[in-house]
Amino acid sequence: MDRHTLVLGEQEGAAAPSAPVDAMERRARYFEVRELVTIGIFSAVIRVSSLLVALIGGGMNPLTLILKNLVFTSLLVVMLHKVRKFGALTLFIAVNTLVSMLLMGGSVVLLPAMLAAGLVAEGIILLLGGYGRTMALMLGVAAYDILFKVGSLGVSWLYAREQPQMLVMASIFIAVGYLGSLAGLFAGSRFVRELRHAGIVRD
Amino acid sequence: MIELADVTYSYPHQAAPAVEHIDLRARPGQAILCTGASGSGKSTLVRLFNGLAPHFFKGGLRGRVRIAGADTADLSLARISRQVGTLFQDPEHQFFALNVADEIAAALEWQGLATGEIESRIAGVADRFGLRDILEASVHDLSEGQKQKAALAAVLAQRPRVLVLDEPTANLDPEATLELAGILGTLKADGIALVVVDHRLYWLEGLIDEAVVMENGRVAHRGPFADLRDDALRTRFGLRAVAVNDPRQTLPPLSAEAGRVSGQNLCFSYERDRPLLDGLCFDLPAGGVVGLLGPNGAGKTTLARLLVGLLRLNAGEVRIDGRPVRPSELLTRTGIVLQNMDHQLHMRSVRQELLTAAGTTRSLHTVEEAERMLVRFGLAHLAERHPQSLSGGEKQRLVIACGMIRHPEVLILDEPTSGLDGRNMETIARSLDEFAREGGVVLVISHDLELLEKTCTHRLDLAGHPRRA
Amino acid sequence: MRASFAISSGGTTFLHALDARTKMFVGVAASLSVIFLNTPQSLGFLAAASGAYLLVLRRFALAGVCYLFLLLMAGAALGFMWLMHGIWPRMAEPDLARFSIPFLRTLVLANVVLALALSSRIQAVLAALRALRLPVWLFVPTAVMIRFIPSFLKDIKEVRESMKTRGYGSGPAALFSRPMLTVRLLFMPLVVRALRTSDELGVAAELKGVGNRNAASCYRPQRFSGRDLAVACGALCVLTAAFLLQSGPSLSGGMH
Repeated sequence: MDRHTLVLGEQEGAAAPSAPVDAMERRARYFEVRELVTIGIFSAVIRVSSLLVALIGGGMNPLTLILKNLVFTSLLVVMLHKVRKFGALTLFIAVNTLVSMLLMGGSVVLLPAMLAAGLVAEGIILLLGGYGRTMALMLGVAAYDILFKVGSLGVSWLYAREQPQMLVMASIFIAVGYLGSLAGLFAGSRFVRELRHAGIVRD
Repeated sequence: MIELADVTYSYPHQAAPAVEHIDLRARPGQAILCTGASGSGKSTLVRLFNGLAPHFFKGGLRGRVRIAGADTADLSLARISRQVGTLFQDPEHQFFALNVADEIAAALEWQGLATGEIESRIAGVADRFGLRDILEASVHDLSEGQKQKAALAAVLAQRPRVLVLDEPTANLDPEATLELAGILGTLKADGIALVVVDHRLYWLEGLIDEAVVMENGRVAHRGPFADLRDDALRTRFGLRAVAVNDPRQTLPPLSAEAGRVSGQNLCFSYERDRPLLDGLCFDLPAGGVVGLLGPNGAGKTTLARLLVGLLRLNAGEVRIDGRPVRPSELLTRTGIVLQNMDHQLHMRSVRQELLTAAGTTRSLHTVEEAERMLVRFGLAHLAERHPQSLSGGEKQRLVIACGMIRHPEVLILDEPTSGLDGRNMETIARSLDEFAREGGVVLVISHDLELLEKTCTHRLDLAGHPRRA
Repeated sequence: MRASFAISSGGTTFLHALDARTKMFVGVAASLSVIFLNTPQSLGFLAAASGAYLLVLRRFALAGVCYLFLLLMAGAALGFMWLMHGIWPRMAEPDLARFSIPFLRTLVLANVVLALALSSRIQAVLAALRALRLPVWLFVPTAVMIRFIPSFLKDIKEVRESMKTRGYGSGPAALFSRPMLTVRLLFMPLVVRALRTSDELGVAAELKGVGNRNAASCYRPQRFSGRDLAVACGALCVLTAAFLLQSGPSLSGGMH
């Protein structure tokens, strides 16, 4: 390569150009800062979107439940197209569970369950061809969402075990919500196609 | 100090280079201006100067970019940014912290500086930019001018030797713009090399040592700032004016004659006992383009929201053609183009966006009308493009077209030309003029003196509005 | 809660002066404890103590609204269970005494979360997060998330306004009559905004050198005060008392 020509491809990630640079500041991290920022931004948008759906949907009703889940999984699919790395989903989950735990009264016991759900989902993504395949991402998110819901139900049992009928109610809500989650996978995939067309998301 | 030597740069996945064979140099205490129409390669120059291209955006770079003799290819982005500070157009989206002091401290903390050193640097820039009183203020509560100053302070706290400013005045009012010019003058005197990329030119007289005009990714003209006084040159490259009059005092005030749209004793407050509007009366004439003026916090945007029914008055009424109109009805009879364009674009194509906007009105609009709008706003060749893929000027034209296709009786525009080049500004000014000539009422909130001068027939100044007797 | 953080302003109460980490600790300790507590007495005691903790803020009206909402939710849950019992008699009839236990758990959590949300500025929460010395890969996304929730709330308002001005409703009626179009109108701008903000903030982060070191220095170090220690000890005492109340000989209970 010409000494005066510097070419950095998209796939090179944080790899430095071949030059004597101060190593401490240029050391490669697994996640680049921009990817960490993207995960943080999408975590915020997903939280806020749930609030928005509740606002416009007028509270607890099947359509609100479906839409809330639809928006959640579709935004997650978009995020995973933007940060295509093993661990992105698990980190997203870790951030959300941490915030939930520290600031929103979320249960500590949810953390290991959620992390396990994330790792299983990422394993599925890898098995199905990795982060480069939309179908693998969709199935990974679908798996994560069901594991997340089962885990949440388990935690709900801890809080409402004296009145287990409440869990029947929660299970119905979860089942209805999961219909939205599945629809969200396709909505997210369509969003991504459209964002590619707009040049906002690139392969 | 900073030098681009025969630089050609291409973004990843793009066949054509974004800029080609660029030779530019800014020495300590020297200020260079890069201007040109939208898409001419100015933003790429900013990214080359501050190292984002290619360190962040990847892509291919030929030639050399040197800072104080060191090739930026050999430096990390963090190291480059300590020498080359960058001030962006909209600092709020880039604030990491929520208050001014923490934002200034952020980069210093990541450099690992000691607490005492950080405090001393914060105190230094706060004194220099008059930020002492707002160090603990939330970034959300600052005026645009204060945000720009806070961002500049955060950059200068890192003590860079080069300062790159990307459209720094796009969101500033004329007073804040002149204040920024003064600050840049002192930085230049301190030996900092300045690279200013901007469409607005009038504020740069006396500051710029060399002006560079970009076209299609190449330097099309370079010379002293005085060269830009040539009308033919500015017209050729779609540039804005070098000297502008301030029409805010010279525009005639609204007359007392009954207008098509009138506000009768309008009262509004966000907090009890602190009225923002108190008995405001005005008449907006049909066929007029009225500049809504006033200092920050005077209630310009609030009045706009009241007139379109997004907010409800505490007292008073809005009348159209002499009849009082309820807020819900106002929403269907008026139109507003808000500042953030991205929030107003929803559909898959430009054509669909227009048709969707037209489809919600009571009157029947046809596909032909949308096609006419596409031609009128120079968007016909972009009809199938995704709205979010358009340039800033194209998006602004589209949201205005979407506002007009509903045939509102009053059209209100909030800063419709910020960050736009001369050609786009002319197109928008012309379209507002046409809308008014067809009998509509236009109300413009803008800091853009050129737009006010070109389009406005009257002014409504909230600084001295008539109050209840 | 999210909105509460956004609107929390400076206050003068005892709780406002506490370090956010102390309030987080109280919240986490409460959420963990209520799993193990399972008698109305112990949970009732904890609900009363946490209620007193919340009322230090003197936001009586807001607390009242939140309690009313909790009661409504509890009423809805009870109603649903009665309905289920009516449709499917094999499902046990709801028992008010047993139902009070999960309700009290929720009440305890609501009290501690509201106390944190209404007395902590987001800036303080961010500072507390930094003081927790999280690794960069966890700190950066968490801080960005908390920092940008208020910004996105503002965006939602603007997107809804933009819909109104185009003649679209953004309430339940619009959602039920045209769900897909409404979702598109609401979320397309938000998705685009999220992606653009990610890019812009990513650039800013790179230029500020965020993440270049394992830990940034801190020009406003967080320090615990005597009152933080007092509140943390007080919280532990209250929790101990609640556990003692549960395991006391005169009361039935214990973890099943």
